[in-house]
Amino acid sequence: MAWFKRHTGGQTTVVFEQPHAKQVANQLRALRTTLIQNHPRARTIQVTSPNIREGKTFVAANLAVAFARIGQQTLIVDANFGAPTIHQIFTGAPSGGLVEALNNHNRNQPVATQYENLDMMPILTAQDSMGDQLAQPRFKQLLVSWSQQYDRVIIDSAALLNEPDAQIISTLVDATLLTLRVGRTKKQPVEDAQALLRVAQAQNLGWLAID
Amino acid sequence: MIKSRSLFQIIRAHKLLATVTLVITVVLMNVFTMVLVKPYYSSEIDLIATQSKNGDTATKNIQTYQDLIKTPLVLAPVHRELVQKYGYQGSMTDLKNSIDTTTEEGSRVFTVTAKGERPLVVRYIANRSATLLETEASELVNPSNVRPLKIGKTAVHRHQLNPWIVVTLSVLTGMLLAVLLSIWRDISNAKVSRQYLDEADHLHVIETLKLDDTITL
Repeated sequence: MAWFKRHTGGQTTVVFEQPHAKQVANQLRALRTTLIQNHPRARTIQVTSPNIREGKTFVAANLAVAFARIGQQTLIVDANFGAPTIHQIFTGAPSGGLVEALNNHNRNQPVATQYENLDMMPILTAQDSMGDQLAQPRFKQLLVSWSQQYDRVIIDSAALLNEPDAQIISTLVDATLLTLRVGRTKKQPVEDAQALLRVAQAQNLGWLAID
Repeated sequence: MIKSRSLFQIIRAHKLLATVTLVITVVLMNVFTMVLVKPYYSSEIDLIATQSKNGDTATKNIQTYQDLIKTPLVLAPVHRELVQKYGYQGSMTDLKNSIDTTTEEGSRVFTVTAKGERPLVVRYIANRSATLLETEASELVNPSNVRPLKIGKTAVHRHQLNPWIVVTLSVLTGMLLAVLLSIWRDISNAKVSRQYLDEADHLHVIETLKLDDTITL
């Protein structure tokens, strides 16, 4: 039963380097293929979920690695200001992160990670919601710049219903991918999240169900 | 969790589950009680200590008689006869534990009560131990001050759980279980299930990830 599966707590697993996680890795490859075939123009993809602890960081991190493994220049951006974790999953030597980049610090560029073809733009320390900064032209400029430099930009953002950040980002990216956990996510937040994206006129790729 | 809906609404939404739970609980508890909980029997016999010729009352010796009736001097023959006549399988200790003696303060009467699962056995225990006490007591206590005990009436009583109590308890238990299960079902239904995703056409599920316990999100 899903109740007894404990997947949270601890370092997010990058399944492509786990021999015992081949099945999950293949499922992520299938997701990658679906996105390439059905949404070839979606270069900037946001990964979010209705509430916290519903697998968005796991999916964002592993999807980014999946794209990098087929030779696509990929950037993973941590836009979860309240609980940033991308810098814990991927090793690199960032001098700054997204917060500094939003504040017009031109020195803050994405940094390479331990995976070939994969760079990251982390958040080094937790912040309050930066919805105001995200809504300003600076973030859109960053997105445009990144989409020119990289084949794929994967954005790990905050929960859609908790902060306005994800909704704001959804209006700026090419597509948004939603995650939910079967047996854990409640129905009403799922409906609310879908409605929120519809109101924002965002491109909704659909749901990734984690069982 | 249940703040937005009253308990009554929750139960009404799951009335079939609640009803089935109530019925099954009542039936099971009553069957269990009828089949597994057996009645027991008790037999009482009253003994009266007679007064001695020199005016001393025998009330002083009541406690002694109460102790004597539980000694092997009285119980050993009773046990032997029970084994022979009724196939009694209990030990001497079991026999001793099945006998209780009670008396009112200042009274010359004390009651011997035997308890067990077989009415004939408990009646025999009460009667025979009282008879042996009468026989043996006069030899152990000062014979010049003790007169034979007079034996009163014998009665056998059947004890079992009051069926109305059982029914009431089972109904209350069933209602409690029904409420708890309804709440649990309501909470479970609030969450997304596989079936819900299959039926919800407006939710476009592009992929499903099946994780095992080794994966950390």
